[in-house]
Amino acid sequence: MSQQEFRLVGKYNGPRITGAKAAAGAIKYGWDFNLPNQLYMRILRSPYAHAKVTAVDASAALAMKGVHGVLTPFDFKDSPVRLAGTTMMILPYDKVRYAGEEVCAVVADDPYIAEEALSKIKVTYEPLPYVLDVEEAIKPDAPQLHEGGNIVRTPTTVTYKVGDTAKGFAEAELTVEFKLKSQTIQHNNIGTYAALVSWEKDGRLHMWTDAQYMHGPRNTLATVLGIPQSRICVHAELCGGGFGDKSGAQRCHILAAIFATKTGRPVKFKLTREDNLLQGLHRWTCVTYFKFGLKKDGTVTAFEAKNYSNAGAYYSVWGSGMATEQLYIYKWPNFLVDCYDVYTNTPRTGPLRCVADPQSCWMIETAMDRLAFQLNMDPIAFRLKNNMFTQGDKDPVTGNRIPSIGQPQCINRAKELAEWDKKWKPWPKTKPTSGVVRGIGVANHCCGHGAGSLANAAVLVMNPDGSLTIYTGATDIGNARREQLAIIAAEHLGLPFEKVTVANYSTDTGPDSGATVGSRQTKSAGNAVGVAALQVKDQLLARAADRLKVTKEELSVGEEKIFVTKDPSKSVTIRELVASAPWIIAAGQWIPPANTTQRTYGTHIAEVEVDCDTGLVKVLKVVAVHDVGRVIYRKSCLSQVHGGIIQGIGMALQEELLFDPQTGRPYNASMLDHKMPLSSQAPEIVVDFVETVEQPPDSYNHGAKGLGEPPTSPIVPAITNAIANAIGVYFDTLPVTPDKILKALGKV
Amino acid sequence: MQPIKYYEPKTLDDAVKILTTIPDAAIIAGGTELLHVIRQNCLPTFQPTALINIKKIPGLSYIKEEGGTLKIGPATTLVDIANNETVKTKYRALAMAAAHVASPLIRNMGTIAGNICQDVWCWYYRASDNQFNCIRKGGAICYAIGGDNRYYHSIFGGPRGCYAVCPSDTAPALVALNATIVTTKRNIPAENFFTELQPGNVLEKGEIVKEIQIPTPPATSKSAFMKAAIRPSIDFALASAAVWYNISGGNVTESRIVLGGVYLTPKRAKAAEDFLKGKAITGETAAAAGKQAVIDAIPMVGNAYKKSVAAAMVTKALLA
Repeated sequence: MSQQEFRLVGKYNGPRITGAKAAAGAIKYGWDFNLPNQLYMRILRSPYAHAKVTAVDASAALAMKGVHGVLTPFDFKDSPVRLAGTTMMILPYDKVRYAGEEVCAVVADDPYIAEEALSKIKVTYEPLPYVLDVEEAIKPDAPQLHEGGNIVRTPTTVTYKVGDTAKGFAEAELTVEFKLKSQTIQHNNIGTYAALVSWEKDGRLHMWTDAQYMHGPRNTLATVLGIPQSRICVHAELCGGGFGDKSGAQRCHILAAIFATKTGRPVKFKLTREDNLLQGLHRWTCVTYFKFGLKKDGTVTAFEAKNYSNAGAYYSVWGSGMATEQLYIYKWPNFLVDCYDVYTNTPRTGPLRCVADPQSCWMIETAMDRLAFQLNMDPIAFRLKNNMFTQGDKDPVTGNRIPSIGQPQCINRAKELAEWDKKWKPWPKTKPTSGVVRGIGVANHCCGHGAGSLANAAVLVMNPDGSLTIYTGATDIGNARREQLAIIAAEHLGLPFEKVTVANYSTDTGPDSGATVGSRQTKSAGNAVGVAALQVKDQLLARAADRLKVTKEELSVGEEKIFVTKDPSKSVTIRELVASAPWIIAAGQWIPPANTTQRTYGTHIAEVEVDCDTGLVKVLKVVAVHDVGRVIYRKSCLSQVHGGIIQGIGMALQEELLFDPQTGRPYNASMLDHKMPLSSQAPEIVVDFVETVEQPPDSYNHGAKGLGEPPTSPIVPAITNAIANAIGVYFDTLPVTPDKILKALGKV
Repeated sequence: MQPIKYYEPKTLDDAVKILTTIPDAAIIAGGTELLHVIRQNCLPTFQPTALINIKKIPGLSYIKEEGGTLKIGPATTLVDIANNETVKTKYRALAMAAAHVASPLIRNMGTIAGNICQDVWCWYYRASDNQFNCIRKGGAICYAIGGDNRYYHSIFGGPRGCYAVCPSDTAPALVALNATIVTTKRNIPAENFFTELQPGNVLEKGEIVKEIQIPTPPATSKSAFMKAAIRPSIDFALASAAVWYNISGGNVTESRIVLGGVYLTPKRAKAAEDFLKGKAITGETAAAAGKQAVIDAIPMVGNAYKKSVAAAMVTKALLA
């Protein structure tokens, strides 16, 4: 179906259903739910980066008026739990593995008593040597965090191999080697982890929280409490930001559920900003050694990389390493990438607006730019020279089909919108030493989306008045899930947007549709809704065919009617067809096709200004073009791109969670010192979309791919490449702060 | 956190009485600084048992010119100073500095006296629960020396072992404008108000800032403030500069050039002032004055770049 034939897809651009209320503060998030008689939970954290917990004396805390319970590591000696795919203790009874790790928890009548009680819990630690740096941690004499060594044995400690790099290097006319290092960042969601957990009158445990996934935490709590999953209901109406951090239950949720069970009272908690900065699944530091072989005409003949990812104290199921997708922008004939995840005494790691993608996108696209710089070639010409993947190409490692590839279209469109040919000038021959200089930089991006889970489910119910309700567990985390799914269903069924509603989110009202992660739900839940909508449509057509005495094939849907295609005057309204029972109800599940890898593509071009006296960088303008398959709801697509770009500025220029080698402790766990970017730093942003319909069409969701994560990644190398274009220096580490810039300019 | 008693005295005298009779009592006005210190529990010796709110004392928020002096009440908010037409025209460095503090929300709450009395911002010193019991708190070492000193530390040494800088934006402006801090006990030239050690100023127990006075500068003079920070708002200065100079016959007759964010107190750059004397302000002399301002810098391992930043701020302020 071509775009002009859609009624709503890409065209409906009304306001976000929850937008005005969210802006007015009228929406309830995890912390906003209250019940009579509720208790407040606070968590005590380890001041040591690595230590045995030899004793806990909680008697003084328990003796306080208003304190109703303390949980210590010794309560959980034999209770490992799987969180985000890794086995952890509910509280670490053997030892703590990073400064800031949860050690004890307390519940009290109010949060102030709970906080005071924390200071009265005496924990005896036996400090152990610790290791913070990923390259230190792989040395044989490094302190060991877990049995089995510091290199994580997982499916992501892997090798990606194509062709024969020895042969490729033999063909090379020059080789280039360098080492790049990214940084650790926390998500800094507007809403920190928060929940209210209560055993209710229905004899079931309810949890109100904000989450990217309701069924995962439900199932974790059921396992921990030893009760059927059906006796738990998780409510997650809206989410104060997710970015990968809220994709499963954390220790805090489990502790609250245990306290609620023990005390019989509702338990409420919200992590402080500092707690939140130290908890959760941080974007990890990547260290990568690169070696490239290339010809003088710009052809890369071989590429090898050895990557060490700082997995932190606990590994998460999403894995570390280099995202494989980023290796599939250019058809390199020979490459070999070895990835190692390494434990260190730093917080847990996991996805932050994509799994390893921002790190590897920065590295690969920095590498590409450095090679262009080496040859003094226009960076876009250099990229085009290196055979980007195009429609019809297969995954070179797995041989999987890639249904749609829009990378060449993205870079060409971005080049045009950014007036690249007019604005790009070669790197300066001598480094500037004062004043303000400008530069422009480009980066491509490839990312998986939509795949990774078989849980893609929705139930559609036609109401007697002809409106439709969608029931799904695919939560709305600010990504306009309600609007996107409504548009998808309404388009299939000839209904106006306003007559399709997504039911309130809870595990009672929607089937498990997997986590809202990986830029997947427009594709995955969208396809499940589409599968169900086509079943609803088929039943409507059957009823209409019966009524109008024609065959189903002769009918069309539109304007809330079923009509004879050749004679639209012969019609019946959908309302008439569904006014009485039996109802039309359809359950849809989408099973991703086998041997297929879903990928989305994009290109960012950034213009920056570098102040050579202060080292400060200002991002002036960003052109962002993304291959999204199909735009469903433009407003949301634009806001995803805007948000991603501002978030990317943080990674490029200022954000980093830092740990002190002298003590192992974090020293900038605050919003002031972590230096998250501000709205006042937002540049001019020009957005466009490339719509590449998958071949063969997979049209349940009208062809949309994913967009949630992609805009965060290419902006980072686009900025750092623009800085290099301005001053002639590429930086080996992130973020590119003024100290590094002025040092590189010889001003230190 | 200890339970805290809360007082709302009607006069400054009453506030002083409470302050002198209750041990561990603290003055609160905007609260943007004090509440952070208390909530973070970053100082082992500072756990107030009582807060005395002076913001509700009538008549402590004002900006007026009287007899050749600008008088600012201690509880005047930063936003009021930043937006005041008289301050913006005749005491421009102060208006510019007040406008650079943190964010609109904080400028609406924070007061001028609170801004100059704030404690240093060093990420080790300010870490929660006194995780780094540093030399400024009576501990053995300064963690910044062997650690990360790229943003918040001195480039002019640490005479008592602490290298954390005075983070106030208005402080260098007040020194440049030759202000006097009037307290309940005495008059203190702004330049002598700040100290290198905790609490960062000369106020004694029971002494409260009562007024800030600035002599009205001659019409032939000019002042300005410039600040460089990682973020354009809600951030402390990597370096800032407040300058005031008087021109006669096209040349500088007198100037006061003060750096912020680079030393434990606002740092007067006398070499730059001497250099400018008798010279016209041009791009060239402003750049040279910037270099003079940091000529005696002795930076730490990670913050040598701040020399260039501070010099650039002086140059920009002179040309602003």
